[in-house]
Amino acid sequence: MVRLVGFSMIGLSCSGLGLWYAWNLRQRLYHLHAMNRIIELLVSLLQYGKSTLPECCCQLAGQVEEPYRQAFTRVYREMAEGRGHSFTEVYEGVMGEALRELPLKEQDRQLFLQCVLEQGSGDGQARVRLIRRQQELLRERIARLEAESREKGRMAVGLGTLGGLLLIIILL
Amino acid sequence: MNTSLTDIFPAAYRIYFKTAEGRARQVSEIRLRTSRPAILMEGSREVFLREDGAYTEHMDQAWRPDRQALSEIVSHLCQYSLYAYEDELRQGYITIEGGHRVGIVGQAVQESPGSIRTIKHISAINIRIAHQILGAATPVLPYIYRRGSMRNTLIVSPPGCGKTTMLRDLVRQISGGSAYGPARTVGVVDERSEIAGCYMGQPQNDLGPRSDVLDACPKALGMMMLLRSMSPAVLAVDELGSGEEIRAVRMAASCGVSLVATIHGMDMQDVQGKPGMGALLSEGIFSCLLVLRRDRQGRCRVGQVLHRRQIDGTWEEVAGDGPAGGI
Repeated sequence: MVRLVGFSMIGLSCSGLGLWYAWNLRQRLYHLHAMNRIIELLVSLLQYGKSTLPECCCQLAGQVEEPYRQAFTRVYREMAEGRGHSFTEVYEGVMGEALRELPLKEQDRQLFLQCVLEQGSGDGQARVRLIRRQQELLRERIARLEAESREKGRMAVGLGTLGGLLLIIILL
Repeated sequence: MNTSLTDIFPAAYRIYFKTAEGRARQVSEIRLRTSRPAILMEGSREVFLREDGAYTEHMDQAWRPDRQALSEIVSHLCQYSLYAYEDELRQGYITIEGGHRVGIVGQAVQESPGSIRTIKHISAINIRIAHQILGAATPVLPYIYRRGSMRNTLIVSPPGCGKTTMLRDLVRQISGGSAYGPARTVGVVDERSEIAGCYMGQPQNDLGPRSDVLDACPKALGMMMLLRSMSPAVLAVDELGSGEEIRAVRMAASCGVSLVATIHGMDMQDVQGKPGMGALLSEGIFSCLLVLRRDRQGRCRVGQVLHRRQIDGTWEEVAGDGPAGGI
């Protein structure tokens, strides 16, 4: 009886590991899509509203989901407090912290942070072009991941289950 | 106004303005030039800023901001969003939170001959501190009302003599009502965000309970928009100048709206010599002129109040230096 329980636990944990990996892949993709939507909103705020970056954060906070909503609100509030910190400092600190909690890779985080912090010149169009370039990179990454994720997810679940079975056989 | 003087600057540079912070009401201008002494103006008095934030009369002790410092300060002034101020930068200045105006010079990048795309390699800035002085217009109220109705008023002043301050308080007092006239709806076209000091669309200066502010909108266009949309009883505009603006003033006056406007100039003769203004004055569109000037001590005062006589269209001085009070 104890053996049976042990084998089922091994089987379940190995399959769970595979499922967790697949879920992480889906979540990463989900957040990359969310970032792409945020960048799209940001570009329209810059292009049509000529909003400053703190204003953009305030407006984005009302249009995006958690945890981005809370992070944008915090950035806006910290800038409005007028403690004299630069936007880069505040944004990197707050948004970097929020992104660390998400199942993203370091390069995804950097890409998203760069989109907003892209300095450019005093020319609005040039700035939008720079952001668009970053967005293109993000879209390429999304497309690549979408192509890979289903296959990779299935493989992870399969490998997890097979790994569990193999362990059980060895232990038998 | 909600911002303090040091809030204008990034945290790293606030120390330089420590003394100025305590004397914010007196500070009228801060001039920062790359590798040259930082100068602060208190009225007509000029002092240098030391690195510890104290004032000094000695140029060799002054703080000299480097290129990096100036660039960081400009970034901060623009809320790290230089692109959002590109239209203003083309004109050589930006208006920041609190209604302060920042003049910027550097290397102009031309788009086409005669038109500037932007300014790069910024080499100097001049921060003109906006002050709201409540009651600044009180001494002139008896002159702008006639039996409860308002005279179309033109405030004439050389730069830095307080015409925007006077206009701002006039708007507040007209909008709130006074012993001389009832409260009226005032439409304010604030092209340079100096009158109301709007930040994210919200006026930061007190313009009274019945003021509608159209912020950052060209004056001529704004006057027409306000006339159509908000049906104001009084229209207020700062720094008239272009032909289009003068045409808009004429149209507003023909719609029966009262006007309060300002213009750069030393006196009435100077204003009459400006294109289009002579005709505007002779047509009687404005019937009250407030001339601001500095006295010998360098203080800004209402130097002259002139009324247009309806019978023969001539201008008579109803108050000279002194009796109309100062600002």
